[in-house]
Amino acid sequence: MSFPEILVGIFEGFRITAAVVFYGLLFAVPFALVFGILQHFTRGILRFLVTAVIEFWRSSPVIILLFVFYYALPIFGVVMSAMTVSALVLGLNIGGYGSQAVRAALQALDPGQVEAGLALGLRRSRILLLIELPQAIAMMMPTLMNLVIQLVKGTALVSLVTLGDMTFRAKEIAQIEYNPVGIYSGLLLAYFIVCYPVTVIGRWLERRVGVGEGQAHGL
Amino acid sequence: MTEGLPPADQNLAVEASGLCKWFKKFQALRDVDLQVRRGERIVICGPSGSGKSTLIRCLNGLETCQQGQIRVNGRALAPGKNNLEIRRSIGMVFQSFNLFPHLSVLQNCTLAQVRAQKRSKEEAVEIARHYLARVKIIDQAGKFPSQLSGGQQQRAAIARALCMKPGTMLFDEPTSALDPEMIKEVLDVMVSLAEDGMTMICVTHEMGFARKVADRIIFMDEGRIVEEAPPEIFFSSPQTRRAQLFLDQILSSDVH
Amino acid sequence: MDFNHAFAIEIVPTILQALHTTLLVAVLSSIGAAAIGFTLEVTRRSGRLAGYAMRFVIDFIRSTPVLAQLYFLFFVLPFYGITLPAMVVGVLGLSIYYSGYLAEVFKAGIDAIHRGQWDAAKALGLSGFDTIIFVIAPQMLRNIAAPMGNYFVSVLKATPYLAVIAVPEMLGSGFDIASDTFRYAEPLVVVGIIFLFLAISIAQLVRLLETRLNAAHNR
Repeated sequence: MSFPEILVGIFEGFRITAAVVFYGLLFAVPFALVFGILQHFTRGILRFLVTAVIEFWRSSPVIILLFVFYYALPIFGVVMSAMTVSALVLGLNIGGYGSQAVRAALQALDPGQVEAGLALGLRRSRILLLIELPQAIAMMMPTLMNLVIQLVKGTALVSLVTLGDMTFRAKEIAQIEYNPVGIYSGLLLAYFIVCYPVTVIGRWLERRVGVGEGQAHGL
Repeated sequence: MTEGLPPADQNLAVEASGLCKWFKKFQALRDVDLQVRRGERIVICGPSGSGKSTLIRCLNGLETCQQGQIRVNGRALAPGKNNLEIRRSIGMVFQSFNLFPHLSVLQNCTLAQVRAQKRSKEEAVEIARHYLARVKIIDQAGKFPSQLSGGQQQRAAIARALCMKPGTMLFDEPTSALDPEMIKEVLDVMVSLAEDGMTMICVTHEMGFARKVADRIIFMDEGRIVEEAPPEIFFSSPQTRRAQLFLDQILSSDVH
Repeated sequence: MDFNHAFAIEIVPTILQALHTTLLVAVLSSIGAAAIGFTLEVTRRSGRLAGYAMRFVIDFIRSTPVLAQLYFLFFVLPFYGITLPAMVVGVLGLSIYYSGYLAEVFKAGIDAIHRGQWDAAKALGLSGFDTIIFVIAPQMLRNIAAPMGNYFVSVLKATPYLAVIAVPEMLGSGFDIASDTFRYAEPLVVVGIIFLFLAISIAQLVRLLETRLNAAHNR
């Protein structure tokens, strides 16, 4: 197989990689918003519980979460497809990081914004929805781009639970022929092609918003 | 790289000829010539943006000129190179002190001695203590810069530069960042250095100091040397209108 | 099959035997990542061409999954006749992957240093090397202690990736037990709990260190 053929072969797994990213985001975005906002507004025991949930998803190694959910949950009677488990675990892990970005952005907002909203007679929920969140999300954009990259890179793990993503394809090709240099360079290149544009967009946003490095620490 | 300069003259500490410097499109220096004899004290003044800081930063290679030549103690400054030897023979004092915050005052004074001059630790400490005593902060030697007042920090910075035993000292607005009550303690140190015969090139607005120690005042405006005269002439009868205007402004607000 | 608590407790000592490998890998990789990351960042600053080249290297490292990088090293190095113990490959892989992140952290830490520090060092005749080591690096470390600590926690959490290249760290030892006993749930859950505990306690330690350091600065 020539290098372009290998690359094409690897990209046959892109559909699965993209699907995991897409379903993962369906878990990540709501989790990040809901838990970030909850952590910002709750106090006492409630806040402790919210923090505990976030820390569970954020602080556990994602590879172990994936295996635990894939191999251990069936024993407790919870049976999910590999795709569901992957999207759930990768999504909530990234969502955990995202929640910290949401909370940090809300905390960084000028309290005068809320006061101005209250003075205008807006309800608190309206202020959050109309004033705080739009500003917070704009501020978080560079961090969110970083998190999307982390999610895409994290999907390489799903090859370990039998999903046929790009990494899985590469390993399949490696079983057919011995060409480690071509195959694994191709694999790195494939991810680079997918992730690099997001990196560039993220850096452009960073320059516009003027915020530093996000909270994601690599999966 | 020395064409444009006359043959090296042992009596000259610093020579510059035809210096031109641009920051992007802004021309900071326009064809500046300067000769400083050994032991001479020069004060460079002028309105902000006139190029005076840029000029002295060029003299030890902190900035590189696009045109012109500089010679220090007879040695040509190579543009773009790390002119370590030349830098080690010129001391520099900055407006913002630039002491190393993670090192004690004494360590600030010994670091370059040990690393750049290859002196032994003991010798470096001895020299450092000597100069710290000279600027009257020997009792602060063990403290960190953040624990000192601005005036003390600047004196420590002067001591740090002196430890390299430079032939020439450059001062870039050494008192501009200081509270008024601390300016005098720094100027006193500078005056005593001048009295000891140090070659000094000072960018400063302290006209009292200029009057007292300068052999020559250089007035710059818009990147050019506009006027050059001994202080008694410069202050009593400035030749150009721009110098006159500058003096009117600065002397009317000068409390020293 | 039920979750067997007695069995789970029984295997804890066996898994903990691999703890020292996990910690050793984490420490060595953290040191390696810091060293490579610092070299990347210093080289990036050394010239225009080097700047673009290092920027690309850093972006490439950050845009590809650690799993793919590990496979690359593990399968490609032997192709060129370089056979290293799996653990060395693993440490190398994690070092390279996290060096991309630490380079960015170092960049921020160096950018935050006042320009006058470089001027002063130059004016004193310090060489470029001495300036970096004695003037810039100590101040940089002070600026970045917290984010650097967080990345070290991330390195720890990434050590289970090395199970895929047969390094006998905790996840690997968990899988060994699983394949001997055909029970996957217990070893994986045990490994997960140990990691969660480790990650959270080390993160707390970093936070404590950060407060200490901040207090020391404001002397």
